[in-house]
Parts: sequence; C-alpha cells; structure tokens
Amino acid sequence: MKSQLRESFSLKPHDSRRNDHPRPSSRLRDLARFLNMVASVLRSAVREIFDESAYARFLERHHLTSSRHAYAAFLRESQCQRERRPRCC
Amino acid sequence: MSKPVRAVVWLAVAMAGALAVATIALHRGEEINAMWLVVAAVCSYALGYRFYSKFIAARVLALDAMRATPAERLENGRDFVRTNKWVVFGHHFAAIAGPGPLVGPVLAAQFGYLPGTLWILAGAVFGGCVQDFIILLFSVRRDGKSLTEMAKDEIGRVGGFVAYVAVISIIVVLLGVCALIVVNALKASPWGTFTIAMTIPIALLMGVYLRRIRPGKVLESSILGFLLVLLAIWGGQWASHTPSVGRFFTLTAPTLAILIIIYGFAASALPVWLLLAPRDYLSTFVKLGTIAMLALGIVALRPTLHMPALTRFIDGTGPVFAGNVFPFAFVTVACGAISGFHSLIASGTTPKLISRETETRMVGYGAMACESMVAIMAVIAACVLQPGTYFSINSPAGIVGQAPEVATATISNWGFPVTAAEMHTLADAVGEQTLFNRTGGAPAFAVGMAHIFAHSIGGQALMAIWYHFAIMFEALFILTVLDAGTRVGRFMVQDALSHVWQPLGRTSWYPSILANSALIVGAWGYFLWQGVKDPLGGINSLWPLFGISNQLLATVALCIATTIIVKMGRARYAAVTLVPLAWLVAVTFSASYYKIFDPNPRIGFLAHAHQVAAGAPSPATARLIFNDRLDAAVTAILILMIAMILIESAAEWIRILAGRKQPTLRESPFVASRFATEEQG
Repeated sequence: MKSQLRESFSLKPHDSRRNDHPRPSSRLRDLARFLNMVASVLRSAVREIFDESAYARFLERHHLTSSRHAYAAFLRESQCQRERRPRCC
Repeated sequence: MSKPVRAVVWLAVAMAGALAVATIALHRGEEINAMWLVVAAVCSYALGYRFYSKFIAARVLALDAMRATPAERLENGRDFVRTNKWVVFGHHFAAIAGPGPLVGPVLAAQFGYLPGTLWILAGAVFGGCVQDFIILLFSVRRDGKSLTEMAKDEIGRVGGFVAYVAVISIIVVLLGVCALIVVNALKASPWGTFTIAMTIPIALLMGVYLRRIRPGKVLESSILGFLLVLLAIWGGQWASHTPSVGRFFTLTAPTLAILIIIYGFAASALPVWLLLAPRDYLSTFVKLGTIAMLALGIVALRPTLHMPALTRFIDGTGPVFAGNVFPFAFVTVACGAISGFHSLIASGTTPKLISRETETRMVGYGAMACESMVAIMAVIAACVLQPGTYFSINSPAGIVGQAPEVATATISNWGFPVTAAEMHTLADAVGEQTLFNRTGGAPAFAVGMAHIFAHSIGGQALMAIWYHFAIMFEALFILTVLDAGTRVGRFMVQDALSHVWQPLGRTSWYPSILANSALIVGAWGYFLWQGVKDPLGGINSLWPLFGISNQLLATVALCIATTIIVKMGRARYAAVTLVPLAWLVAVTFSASYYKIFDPNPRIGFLAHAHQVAAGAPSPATARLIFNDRLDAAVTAILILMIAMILIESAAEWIRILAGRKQPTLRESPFVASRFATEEQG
C-alpha cells in the first residue's frame, strides 16, 4: 500500500516531470486514483471481515460457481474454524 | 518530507499531546472540553506507534521482511492466506473490538475522568499495544500457534496448563458478566427487550437468506439485517406504547436471566450457519458503523465533560463498585488499556493472514491503539452526563435506596445534585419507565451516546431512538460474545475431556455437545444468577472478577513474551514486556487480595460472607455465603495458577541468563520470502 501510495503521489528523484507544475486535471486524476484505491482497500477489508473473500477463494480452489450447494460445502469446510473463533471482550 | 520537517512535525505532535495531557491532568474545578481527551489520545497513540513500536520492531524483535510468513509458506487458500495489511488490520480490529472497552471505562468514570483516561493512554501505549504486537509476531514465527501452545513450548507444561485453565476461566466469568450487563439493560424495558428479541428471528432469517436465497452474499444480508433491526427499534417504541404487547416484554431481571441462559444453550447447540454466523455478521456490521458514527459525533459536537477530573470515590467508597482507585481503576478499565483476550486473537486467525513480518507492527500495535481510542470515546460518553445523572443510573438500590426521592437525595448529598423529576424527564425522553438502578455501564453509555447523537443529528426528538439504538448495539454485541464464547468454551472442555474418555471429545456426537454445552452454560449461568440476585447489583463483585481474570491472562501472555525475548538473546530489552508485566502483577495480585480479604464487606468476599452470616437469617443466607466463598475461591485459584506460571517463567529466565541452560527457541526455521527477494531483486 505504501509503495502504491508513493507511486501515486510522489515523484522519483529523476522523474522528468519533477520540475513541471502539475496541471489541475492531472491532480484531479491523481486524486481520483487515490480515492479509488482507498475504496478498493475498504471494499477488500469489508469482504474479508464478512467472509465473502473466503467464499470466493473456496469457489476458485474447487473450480465451482456460486450456488446453494457450493455455499453449503463452504460452510461445512469453514464450520470447524468458525466455531472455534472466539469473539473478544 | 525532509528530515528537519519531519522532526518539526513530530515535535509539534509531542507538544500538542503534552499540552492536552497537562490540561486533562491539571484542570480542577472547571469543566473541560472532550476534545482535550481526543487530542491527548491521538497524539499519544501516534507517538507510541511512530517511536516506541518502531524501537520494539527494530531492536527487540528485529522484524525481518525477508523471512517468509506462514501465510506464504503454508498458503492453502483457507486458513493461511497472504492478505493486504490494511485488510488484515480491519479484520483484526473487528475481531478484538468487543463490549469491554465500552463498559469498563464507563464504570471507572465513578473515580472521575482522569484515572481511567490516564490508564487507557499509558496502558495501551506501553502495555496493550505492545502485548498484541509481540504475541502476533511470535505466533507468526511459530506457524500461527495459539497462546496455550506457545506457553507449553516456551515455558513448560505448567505454563501450558495454566494458560489453558486461565482461558476457560476468563471465558466463563466474561460470559456471566456480559449476560448480567444485558439483563440490567433490559429489565423492565419493553422497548429494549422487544428490539433484542427481534434480532433472533432476524439472524435466523439472514441465515436462511444466505444459505438458500443469495448464497454467500454476506454483506448484502447484513445490510438487510441492519435495516430490519432499525425497523425492530421503531417497532419497540410501538410495543412499549401498546399495553397488551408491552406487558409480554416487560420482564424482571430473573426472568431475563433464565431466557438468556436458555438462549445461550440453544445457540451453542444449533448449527453455526443458522444463528451464530449471521448474528456475528450483523453485530460486526452494527459495531463498525456505530463506532465510526460515535467518533464523528464526538468530533462534530465537541461536548463538555461534566464529570470532575477526580471524584471523592477514589477513596474506595464508590457506589458503582467498591475499592480504591489503585488497583480497582486498572482492573475495571480492562480491555481499553490491555486485554489478555486479545492475545488469543493475535495468536488465532490474524497470524495466518500476515504477508510480511514487518506488517505485524501496524496490525498488532495499530489495531490496539484504535481499540483504546474506542475506550476514550466511552469515557467521553459517560462523562458528558451530569454526575448526578451518571450516579443515579449506575448506583444499585442497595446503596442509594429504592425510592427515586431517596436515591436522588443520597446522590445529591455526595455533592452531585440531581432530582427525581430530572431523572423522570430523562427516562421519559429515552422512552424508559425508569433509569434508576441500571447498573452495568451499558445504560449509562447508551444515555451518553444518545446525548451525543441527539445533539448532532435529530435533536431531542430522536433521543429515545438513539438510546435504544445504543442499547441494541451493546446487547447485540454481547449476545454475539455469548454465542461464540459458549461454543469456544464447549470445544475447550471437549478437548480436555477427550483425554478422560475419547467419545466426549467428538464434536459431532450430540450427547457430548449437549452435555458440554450444559456444563459451560451452567457455569456462566451460575455467575449470572448470582449477579441478578445480588442486592448490590452484581457488577460490584463480578466486574472486578472479570477484570482480574482478563488482566491475569495478559500476565500469561507477557510471561510468554518475556521468556521468548530472553531466549532470543535480547534480555537487555526485556523491560519492554517486563515492566507492564510487573505492573499487571502488582495490580491483579493486590486487587485479588482486596477482593478476598478486605475487611470492608463491600470489597472483600469473605468479609461479606461473614456479615451475611452475622445478620438476621433468611432463606437466601446460605446461598449468599456460598456465592461469596465461591468468588473468593475462584479468585484465589486464578492467582495461584498465575503465581505458578510466573515462578516457572522466572526460573527459566534465571537458568538461561546464568548460563545453566541453553535457550531453545521453538520457532519455525527461516525460509526466505520469495516476494521480498523479488522486490529486493
């Protein structure tokens, strides 16, 4: 993430654009890219917290498409791990 | 940013933090703005993260980005998955954030805002964040091993056994206390009870929706569940205003306790997908959203704290719970400063997701700093209330009297003016029949939160909705902890009993499931029942017991951490874990001593048993005496076990430092990370 952010926002020492004044449109593009990246990380975090990513990985691993049966199989596989996961006080 | 500019920025952060802490600590007799607490907290965590955690990462732990983590070496797409550090951070924070940092600081506010705030800041920066960070890293270096496995490997068999028993004990005490908080929040509250009752069919509906209608669409079903919960809050208002419906949901504390015990047993025996998983998703959704809303509300409103910095109750005569500011403020704040329970999460799912060792700093230290910030928000929510209101809500009838006029007269005599009419108006505004004798912290937090929300959005007209939203949020949180905790406890007992008779360990064998569920539910149900029947409200004796057991688990985690640091040949830096360990030992051992032997019957279990025995006999006398002796025995056993682990650890440190034993680390062997190599190349 840090390197991505660096890539998006900082200019490397030998970058030819270094001394140019960025045009407003390019600033807007950079901002849009940054916001897009933040949104994508947030979306990934939410999908991980809510186990949607785990389900997607399950489908990929078993070469399945989402269905009742696939989800039931996913629940069976992850049941043991989920049951033993404490929730914090 | 150039080096001098960075130095100037960090100097400014340090000065702002120092100014804020000085303002909090030195202001007397005047109300201060809550933003001082926010600034002090943000600056302390930023400085702790930037400098202290960096020092630990570089000097003590020598984090190595080149070393492959278990997520890379053992990647299986299931348990071990390389994950973006921000995603792991969110995942870890969602797992460690529970009701403790909301309730503990509210209870500790009886001493004023200062003791709790200072301990939350110092405890988190030098204790809680350090513990979470180090245990996470050590688990990463041991293929994601659990705390109890690390205790057995690094300290010895006694260490492993004690850690195991400590975990079960803390789960049982925690569940009993959590259930008591829900009972105290919902008793005689048809609105709250209706809303919480509705979350059960909502969770079941979500389970069916996820499995049958839209498989795997968890976020979608959580949003749907959340909308239904909002509808249930609105429906609660209707239920409370409709006498024929309301009377079914106007329940006494013992009735609610029985219902929660039955619920706990059912939740432990039902399939996970049907109730546990959807409720977990729903509560996580509400939790993250509400914490964010509360943070925004505090920043937008910038409320004034009406509670003084220190109250007269630092002398130990407090009505919420008895005991001096030392050690009871420290065991009461609990999870907001340091939580042993976090070490279970830091050695559970999280280490299996970490992509690079260097990320443990942000995930372990950073997530705990955020949790601590939640505790600061709880202090603010409690202290924006007028002190008279705070004590009217949190004081048990056994201390201030049953009748509103008597209770308000007692509290006013303490120097915190409040009238029965004011309390009646407030109860009316939040849609409750009464707010007196609502011990447990949750209702006071809900009133404070409703105050902040109502002044930010919607005004007084929405006060009742916000209050019940806050109660729903806390109760949902707690019931999720009950569901999951009962199951985890059941598995641990099953694992242990399998050594006695193997079929008892079979997790799919129904007689074993039912028997072990009954055992765990019976254990925490006993504590719950004891609390419900306690004339002092239960929280007085049970919350300190919970705080002690939680901090004792942190003691175990810090013993393991210190042992590994010594074995790594970095004993000169062992103070990083040894100092918080010594502090926790001082706090927990003295708190336990007071809870067992103090001659004041409001503090000491044995003195209370003696007082009950000397009083007029009643049908409850024998039970009250038994309860006190049981609490004293539980506290003593916990302390003895921790003393054993301390002695075993210290003996190991001495053997290694004296050169009498060759240190053997049980780390997984070094394997170079192919990703780091690629990046380097």
